[in-house]
Amino acid sequence: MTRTRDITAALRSLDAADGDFDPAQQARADLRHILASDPVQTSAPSSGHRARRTRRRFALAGGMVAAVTAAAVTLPSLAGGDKAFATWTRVPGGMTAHERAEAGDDCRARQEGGAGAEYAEDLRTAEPVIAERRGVWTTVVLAGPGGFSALCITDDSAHLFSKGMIGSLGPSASYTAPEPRDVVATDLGSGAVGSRELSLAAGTAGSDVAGIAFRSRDHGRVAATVSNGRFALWLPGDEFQDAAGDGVEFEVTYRDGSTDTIVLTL
Amino acid sequence: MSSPSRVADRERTFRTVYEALYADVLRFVQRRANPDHAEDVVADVFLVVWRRLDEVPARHEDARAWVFGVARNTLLNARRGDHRRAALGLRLADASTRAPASGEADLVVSLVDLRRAWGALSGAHQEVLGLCVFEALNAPQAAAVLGISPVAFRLRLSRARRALRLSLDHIPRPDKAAVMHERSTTL
Repeated sequence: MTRTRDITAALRSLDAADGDFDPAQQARADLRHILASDPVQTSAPSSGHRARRTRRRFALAGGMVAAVTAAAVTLPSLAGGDKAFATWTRVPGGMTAHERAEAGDDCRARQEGGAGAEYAEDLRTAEPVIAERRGVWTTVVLAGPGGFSALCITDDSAHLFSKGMIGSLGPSASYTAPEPRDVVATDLGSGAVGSRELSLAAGTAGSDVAGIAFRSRDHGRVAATVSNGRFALWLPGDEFQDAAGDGVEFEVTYRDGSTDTIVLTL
Repeated sequence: MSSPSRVADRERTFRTVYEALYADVLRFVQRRANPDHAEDVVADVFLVVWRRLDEVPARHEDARAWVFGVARNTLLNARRGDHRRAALGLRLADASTRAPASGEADLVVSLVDLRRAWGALSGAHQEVLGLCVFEALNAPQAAAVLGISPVAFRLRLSRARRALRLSLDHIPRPDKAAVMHERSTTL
């Protein structure tokens, strides 16, 4: 018992928490933002239990979730931002080479400044293999050797909370290069940005895969961007919330014109 | 539609919880994640608390454990792939910058050895020890953070303590004779 007490005392002397901090200013600012947000419950994690909805590979990186008052729905918002995904499009738009490079740099910087700090070297060598627009939203996938990838979805119109992002990154535990007609998901599920739900799918696609699409009950046929062996699509809503158990059905179009319906799971 | 008085009550309750627990939650996160982003993570945690305010236990100690559980899940959910299911290990401070807080100059545990032994522990063992040692939670409170029963927590804690002691016992020690000689010449 004495030894346990000694070890406990010694451990406490190695506490990594900063005992002398003064978080008052940041804490007050965050309190104001939280109280200004809509207290409608979302899929955020509850105490002691796993989140209800699938949130694979999601990270709120680079800062707090955007918080707006209810009044901003009808008044011009100082925060900017596409609050209800109003500008989102089923079919993605592309980018010029210059825009793609800039979007890739932006995604790299956001990830390095957030959850991706430990993957700094992987991020530096990863290239933007997907860069698409859906309204004011930009989606970037960075890919590097060994299956490393990073994903960023950002609202380019937001400025007050411009650090808000949905993203993920990391190596793929069991990465193998896809066969020509393979489609493998690395991201699949639903998550929330503030009070807004979105569903996303991303992963690898073989060389014979020309197109991937999801038949949404709310939005119709949502097309993915398929490029450089990767694919990505996202849509407002929580239609992928049961992806962990049931998987999600996608339509795949191959270069020979043939099509198939596949179920993706993680 | 909430009445203005109910909204005010809700806000008052949240402010009380926020002011009472902010520092503890910040320390919880600093021990388990990149300290440069700790305040952002804490903001995310309290956003969840704001939205689930009706679920927060009334007693302060139980509320503290409940919010730690939210913080734990927030940190775990931010990880990728297989690591999402793993436990939340803890960092320790650099041993060379710390002096034992107990005042006992002859602590039998060298801080350097302890840090090394801690690093050899699994994340799961670090997690249960961390809740007990740093957050000072009792078994029912720590069990609530992990979503397990108090009995299961006590079992895990017992195993974790044993693992740490075994790890400490296997760290090579300097030659005892040389140490004794040194001590005698300094007396």
